[in-house]
Amino acid sequence: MKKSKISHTYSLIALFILCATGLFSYQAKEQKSILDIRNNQNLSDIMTNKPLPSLKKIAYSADHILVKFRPYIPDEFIKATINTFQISEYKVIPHINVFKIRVPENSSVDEMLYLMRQHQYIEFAEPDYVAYKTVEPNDTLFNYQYALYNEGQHVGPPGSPQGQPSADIKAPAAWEETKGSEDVIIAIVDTGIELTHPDLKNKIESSGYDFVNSDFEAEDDEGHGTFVAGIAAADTDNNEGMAGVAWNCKLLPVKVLDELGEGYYSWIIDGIIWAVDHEAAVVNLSLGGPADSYSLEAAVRYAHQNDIVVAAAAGNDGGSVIYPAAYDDYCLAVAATDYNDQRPSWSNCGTQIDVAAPGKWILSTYPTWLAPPGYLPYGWGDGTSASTPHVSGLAALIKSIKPLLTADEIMYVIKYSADDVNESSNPGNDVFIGYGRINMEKALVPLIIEQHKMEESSSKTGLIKSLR
Amino acid sequence: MTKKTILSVIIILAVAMPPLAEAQFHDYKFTTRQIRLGIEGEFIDRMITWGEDQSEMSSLKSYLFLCKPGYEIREGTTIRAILGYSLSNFNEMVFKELPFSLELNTGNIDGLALGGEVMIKIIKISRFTLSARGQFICYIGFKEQWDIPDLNVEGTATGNPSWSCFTAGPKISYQATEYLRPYITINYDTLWGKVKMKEEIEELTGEQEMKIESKSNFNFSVGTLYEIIDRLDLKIEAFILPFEDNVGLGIALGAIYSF
Repeated sequence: MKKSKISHTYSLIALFILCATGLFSYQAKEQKSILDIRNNQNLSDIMTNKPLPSLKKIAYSADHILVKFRPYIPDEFIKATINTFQISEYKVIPHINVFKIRVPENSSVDEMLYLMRQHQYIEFAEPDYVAYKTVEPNDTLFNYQYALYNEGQHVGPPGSPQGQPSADIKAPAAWEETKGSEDVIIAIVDTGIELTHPDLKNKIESSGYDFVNSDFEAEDDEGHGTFVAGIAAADTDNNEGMAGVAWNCKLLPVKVLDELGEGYYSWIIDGIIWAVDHEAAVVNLSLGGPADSYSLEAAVRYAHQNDIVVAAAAGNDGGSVIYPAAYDDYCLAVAATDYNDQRPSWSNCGTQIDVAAPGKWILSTYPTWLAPPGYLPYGWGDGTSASTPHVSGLAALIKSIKPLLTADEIMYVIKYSADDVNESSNPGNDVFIGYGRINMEKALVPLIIEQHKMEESSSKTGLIKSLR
Repeated sequence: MTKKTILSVIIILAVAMPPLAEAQFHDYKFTTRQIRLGIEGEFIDRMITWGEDQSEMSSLKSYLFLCKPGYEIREGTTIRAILGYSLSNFNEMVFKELPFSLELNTGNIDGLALGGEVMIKIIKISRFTLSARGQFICYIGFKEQWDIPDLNVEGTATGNPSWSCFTAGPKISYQATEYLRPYITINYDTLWGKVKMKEEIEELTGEQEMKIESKSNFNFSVGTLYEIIDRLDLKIEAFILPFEDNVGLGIALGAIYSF
């Protein structure tokens, strides 16, 4: 009886081990399968999981699969196995000994994977997946937009300087997360917008208002507003022209500067208030003056109190921050950087500077009437006027996916996510570029919290810095 | 039910059947005792839904180390308290309503596990016993804090998870030998809870409470009790939690001492 009990004990222990190892190894395979193919709606039930809405669809070859045999299997056994599966065409990928196998004509990828995964000699069999480049719009001039994605290309026509790779605002990575909402409107309070520009006409919410001529058609007779509008939200992925920061967001033209690019504060004040009252979520002010004004401050305060993000240019004379950008509590004051993440000397500075964005050799939309015959209505420009709509576009994208955030919260997100690109000379928030050059990816894509716990590190700052 | 689910059942049955078949040739004798103390380790990997309209899905891996003091009111009817320690892993969960969206990749979050279990014998026919089993476990995660990486200022995220799980269903056990009692169960199984996440980055703060629900609403299990020495039973139980085209899996190992 005792012996029998011991024998039962052994068999039970064996059962424990078998169940445990069997289950856990099955679990491990199961988990890998979920990770690899989680969103593939075409694979059969042998390996599918329900699509996860937040993830991209995964495509794979219809006639090839990748297979690896277990390391100890002799070559003749491998060949025999290949024959068993009636495989006539394959090649071995060197160094990793993975077989790229053509699926026989009388079979399918799903069937082959199912059968091969049951085979004892096979370590793994998987589809030959299709990889994609990150989101990149098909706009023909996108390659000139180093500000959005800098690969070290020439920033303009032949003879123009080359940029430093990654000296950009990381737009493609951010567009993976959001391309913006049509419900979010960016008011371009400027010289107006050419309402019929081919790369803008589909993005314009309405013909806006002209405070210079007091009519409901904020047509651009100078060109500055059209240029600014293109940077913020040109029609993107439309096979022509350029890409805007906020792909899907709308533009609201508000004309407050005349054909000379000048305007009274009263026009600007009216324009800001009109934009707020006409459902703008972001107000772009690529303009300003040296004089402080209670009325102008009151106008941007009104916008801020209505949870409208106001982005304003710091100025281009190398002096102090102009108004309204200098109204620190209500505006994001935007300085300029270039294709090397350096601050141009003409970019104004001061304690009010919040962030910077590329503002040199910036490609954008020109009014068609300004383009010489035979030229496309696009051109390059410099200035914090060009930097500001990058920030406005980012604010619009944040508002698109987080509509409940207040203006202050959006401003903090933009500031805290910026790259401190002059850290070596001026670490932290400084008077030249504020918190740094904006980083759309950090502002929009979820930040991954790792296992590291607060109390486990006495040098928390060191860890954060190393992750930058 | 998918091929994968069926395959899993077949594997578990195949592993469990030989000792079960062998056991039928032996006499059987399980003694009933009034007070029992069980110690169990349990791992379950189940799919949970979360996010807007519960449209997102990820895996919740939970490890439970439980102490189950029990009292047998009458033969076959036992009530047990559940006290223990648990680790829960919510990796891949994304909090998009915070000012900065955060994705958890923090590994296990520890906490307390509390609950109770009731087992009632309904009928015994020959060597088969039909019982009803119900179990409730509540996991109360300890508040944990992590650095928020990649920003130009310091920030912290504070997570505070909790979930509850209710399982109930019939259990059919078979008195195979004097020492061996394999069983199967089919259960209604539901898990619900929330993960609170607070973000603090200088002046910027935000808080989101994410509701979680189990994707699967039933499980079935195969297990066995084995009296390894007098008064001490070992237990192993494997769980399958099917959902749509896939399965969650789990295993429990335990020892039960009868006083």
